Amino acid sequence: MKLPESLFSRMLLAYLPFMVYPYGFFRAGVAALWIVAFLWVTVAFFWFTRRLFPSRSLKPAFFLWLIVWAQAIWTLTKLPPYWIASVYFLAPVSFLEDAAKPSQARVFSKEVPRFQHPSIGAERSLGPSQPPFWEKVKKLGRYFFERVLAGISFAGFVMLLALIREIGEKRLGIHAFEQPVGMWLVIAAVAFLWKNQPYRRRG
Amino acid sequence: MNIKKVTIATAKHLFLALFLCLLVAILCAAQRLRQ
Repeated sequence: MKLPESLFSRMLLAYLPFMVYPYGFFRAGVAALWIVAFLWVTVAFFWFTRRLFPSRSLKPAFFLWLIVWAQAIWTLTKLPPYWIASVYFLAPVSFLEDAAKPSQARVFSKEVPRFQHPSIGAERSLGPSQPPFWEKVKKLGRYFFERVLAGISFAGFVMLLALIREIGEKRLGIHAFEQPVGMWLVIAAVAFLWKNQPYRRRG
Repeated sequence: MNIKKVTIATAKHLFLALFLCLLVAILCAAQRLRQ
């Protein structure tokens, strides 16, 4: 299965397990924060250690990492066992293979550090010169800034939907909000608005 | 066989072994903390 690259689709996928959790606003928020924190740890860990793995075992290592942490945090924090699915869907699909295709790992922009190309001895001296240090830092900062922003927007999205569910169920007494169907309705509305954003002129 | 390549490959596999040890340690620690 090919997972979608765009942030909003991945956020929707990551939200799916939340539909069946019997959580109120507060507990949904806490679960979302756990998920986002773990996503950041994972992305940072694999960004820095990616090239230290044998290239064939990087993906199995990534899945093992997810499975082990799913088990560990499940036993420790009593999160529902599906919490790791949200992390998996939130993680940018191709961030493990970006040495091969650097332009594909993106959240909002196409920019990804290109200096991570594995270059071998002689080619390094022949090829174009390395970008200056400050440029590297700026690009790296941008890369992580996008991941941080993705995490924050997921947490905000979950809390917003939990709030809507709370209001719809408790205050307005709409029975549909007790079931996933109410959340589907809200998500459909959100997706409609997202797709039909008003045209904005540049400049 | 280039000796540099062999060294790098060995180092990478050692790192993978370390990583697996880390994962096992995480599992054991979680189990211990729970009790």
